[in-house]
Amino acid sequence: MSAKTTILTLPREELVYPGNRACAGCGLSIAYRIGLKALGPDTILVVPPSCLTVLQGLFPVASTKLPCLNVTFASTAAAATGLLGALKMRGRQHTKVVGWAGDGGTADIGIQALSGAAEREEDFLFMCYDNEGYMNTGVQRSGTTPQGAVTTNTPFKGKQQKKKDVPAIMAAHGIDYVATASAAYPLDLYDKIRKALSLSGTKYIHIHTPCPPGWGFEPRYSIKVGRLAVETGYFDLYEIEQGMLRLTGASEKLVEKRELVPVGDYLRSQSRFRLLSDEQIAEIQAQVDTKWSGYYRAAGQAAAE
Amino acid sequence: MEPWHGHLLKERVDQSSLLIQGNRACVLGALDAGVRFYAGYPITPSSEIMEAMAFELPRAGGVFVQMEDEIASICACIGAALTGEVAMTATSGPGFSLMQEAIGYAIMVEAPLVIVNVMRAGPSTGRPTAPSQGDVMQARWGTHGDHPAIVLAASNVADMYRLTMAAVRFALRFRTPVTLLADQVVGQMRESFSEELIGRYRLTSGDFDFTPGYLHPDVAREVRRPHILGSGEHPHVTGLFHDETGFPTNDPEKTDKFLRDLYNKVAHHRDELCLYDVKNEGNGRVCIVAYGSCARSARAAWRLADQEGLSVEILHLYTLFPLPVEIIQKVARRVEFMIIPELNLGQYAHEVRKMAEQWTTVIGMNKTDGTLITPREILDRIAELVGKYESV
Repeated sequence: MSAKTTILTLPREELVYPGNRACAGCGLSIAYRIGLKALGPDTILVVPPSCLTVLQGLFPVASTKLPCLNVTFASTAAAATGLLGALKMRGRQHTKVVGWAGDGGTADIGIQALSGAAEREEDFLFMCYDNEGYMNTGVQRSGTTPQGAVTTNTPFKGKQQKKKDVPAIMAAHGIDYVATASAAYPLDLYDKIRKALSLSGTKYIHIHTPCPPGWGFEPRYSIKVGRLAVETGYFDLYEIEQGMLRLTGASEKLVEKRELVPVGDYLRSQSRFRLLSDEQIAEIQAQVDTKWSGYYRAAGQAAAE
Repeated sequence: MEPWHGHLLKERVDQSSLLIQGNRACVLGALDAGVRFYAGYPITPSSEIMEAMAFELPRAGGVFVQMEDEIASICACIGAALTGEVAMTATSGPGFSLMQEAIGYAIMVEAPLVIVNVMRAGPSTGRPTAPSQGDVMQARWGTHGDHPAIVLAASNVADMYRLTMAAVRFALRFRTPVTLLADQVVGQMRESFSEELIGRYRLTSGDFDFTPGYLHPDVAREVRRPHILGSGEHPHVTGLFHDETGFPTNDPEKTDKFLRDLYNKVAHHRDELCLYDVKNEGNGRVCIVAYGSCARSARAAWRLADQEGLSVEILHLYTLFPLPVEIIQKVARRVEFMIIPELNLGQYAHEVRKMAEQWTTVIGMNKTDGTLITPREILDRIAELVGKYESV
C-alpha cells in the first residue's frame, strides 16, 4: 500500500468553499471537504436529498466546485448508472462518477438502486455519510440509527432495533472494495477514497459522521465524539477486500494495544442515549467486547501464520 | 462534556392548547376520529405529523411504524386498512408521487385510508419549505386508469383538525383512500385552535359530527361487502379486476360494472362529499372561488373590499374532488366574474372553467414563486376588473 497521506501531503486546492450552510460542528462538512480533495476536480457528484444538499447551499452561497447532480431520494445509484453508461459511450471514462448519500438515501429508500448498481458491477464509488438519522428533516430514526438512541419519533424508549449493517450488505454483493471511515479521521478517509478510485467496479465507503444537533452534544466536540466511537470499539474502521475484513488506522492500533475505552464514555457524551440504563450500557459493552475478542483472535491467527 | 438537549420534542400535543401547529392539529383530528395506525417516512413540510403520531399512538394503544420510503408507507397502511383498522400516512409532493401506484391499488381493493399531502413548491424536490398548490390535479388523476377520488383542502389549523376527521369518515363510509391537501403554510404555521373557531367556518354539507370517536353509521350503498383479513374468513384481495367473490375476472360485463360502481360510489354522493362555505351570498358581481391557503387571502380580501365599498362573494371550497358542480354552477349563474387565486398555474381554474364558462368569466390568479397571494393582490385584481368593465 502507498504511503499514508499526512497533513503536509494533502492537496492544498479546496473544492469546497468556506461559508457553507452546514450546522456548526457538522461532521459531514469535514468529510466533504477532505473527500472532495481526494476525488479531485474531474468528478461528477450524484447526491440525493440530504443534509448535503443543504450544505451545498443556495445561490449565491453555493459551496461546491464540482458538477453535481441532485437527484430524487431513491435514485442515487440509478442516476449514476445512467451517467456512467453515457460517459463511456462518449469516451469520457476518465471522469469519475461518485454517489454521496446520507444514511436514509443509502440504507433505507436508496438501497434498492444501490444494490442493483452493485450487482451490475457499475464502475463507480458510492459513499454514505452516516449521521445515524434523518437529520435534515428534524432528527427522525433511520435504518442506521443505533439501538437506544432517542429521536423525534422514538421519543419514549429510544430506537429498539439494531443498526443496519450496510457495509456488510455491500460486502455480500461481492464487490471489490468496502471500507468504513470516520469524519473524525479525515486523512484515513482520504486514503480510502484514493484507494477506492484506483480499483474498478463498485466501491463502497461508509463514513461515520457526528451530528451535534441530532446526537445532542456541543458543536466543538464533533471530533472528540467521532474519535470516542472508534476508541471505544463501538464503530470500527476497516476495509473488506476479497471478502476479508481488515481493521485499519486507529482501529488497527487498538488491536495492538488491546485496551478499549469504556463504551459508556461514548454513549454518555450524547443526549440521544440518555434513556440507556447502566445495565443496558453494560450489555452494549458486552456486545462490543465479543466483537473485539473476535478481532483479537483473528489477529492472533494471522500472526501465527 | 455535558449532553445538550437542543433538538428534543418540547411541545406536547394537547387538545387544550390555545396555540397549535397545523400538522399537529391534523394528528389530533386523526386520533379523535379513531385513527390508530400510522406508517410514514420523514419529509418536509409534513414530518411533524409523523413525529406527533410517534408520540401519541403508542399511548393510545395504536401502532406507529416508520417505513423505509413512501411506497412502503402507503402499502403498510393498505395492509392495516384491510384488517379493519383506520390507517393514515402523511407526506409531501415527492413522497406523494411515489405513492401513486399504491393509491390506485387501494382504490381497487377498496381499502379505507387517509393520505395527507402537505404540499411544497414543486415539481421534484422543488422548494421543501415553501407552499404551493401544485398537486391538485395529481391528487385527482395521479394514479393510472379511471378511478374515483375524494380530495379535501385545508386552509387553516382548525381545518387540519376537522377535515382530517372528515377524511377518516369519508374513507370508512366509501371504503376508498381520501387525500387531504394542505400546504407548507397551513401545515407548519401555529394558530389559535378552539371549538368556537371550528364552528366559525361552516361546512355546508350537513350532518357533521365532530364528537371524538364518532364513526360513520354505514358504508355507502354502492360499496360491496368488505373483505376483512384476519376475520377467520379466507378472502382473496387483488388489484386485478375482480367480482364480488374477490377473485379476478376477465368477463367484459363484470369488468365494466366493477369500474362504474367504483366510480359512481363517489360521483353519486356529491351532495354529501362536497364541503364548502359561501360568504356574502348573492351580493356582488365578483365571486372569489378559493381553497387552501388562498382561501385565507380571499376571506381577507373580501373584508378589505367591503371597506372600499366593493361587494364580493366568496366560495370557499373544502372539497375539490368530486367536483362541487352544483354550487359552482349556481354561483356562476349570478356573478359576472369568478376569480380563482391559486398557488399553481391554474389547475383548478381549468376545472371550474369547464363547468362555469357558459355563464360567467373565469379568471385565474396564479402565483408559483413560493409565496402566498396577498389579500391586496386579490383586491387590486377585483378593482381592475370591475373598474375596467364599468368604464366601458
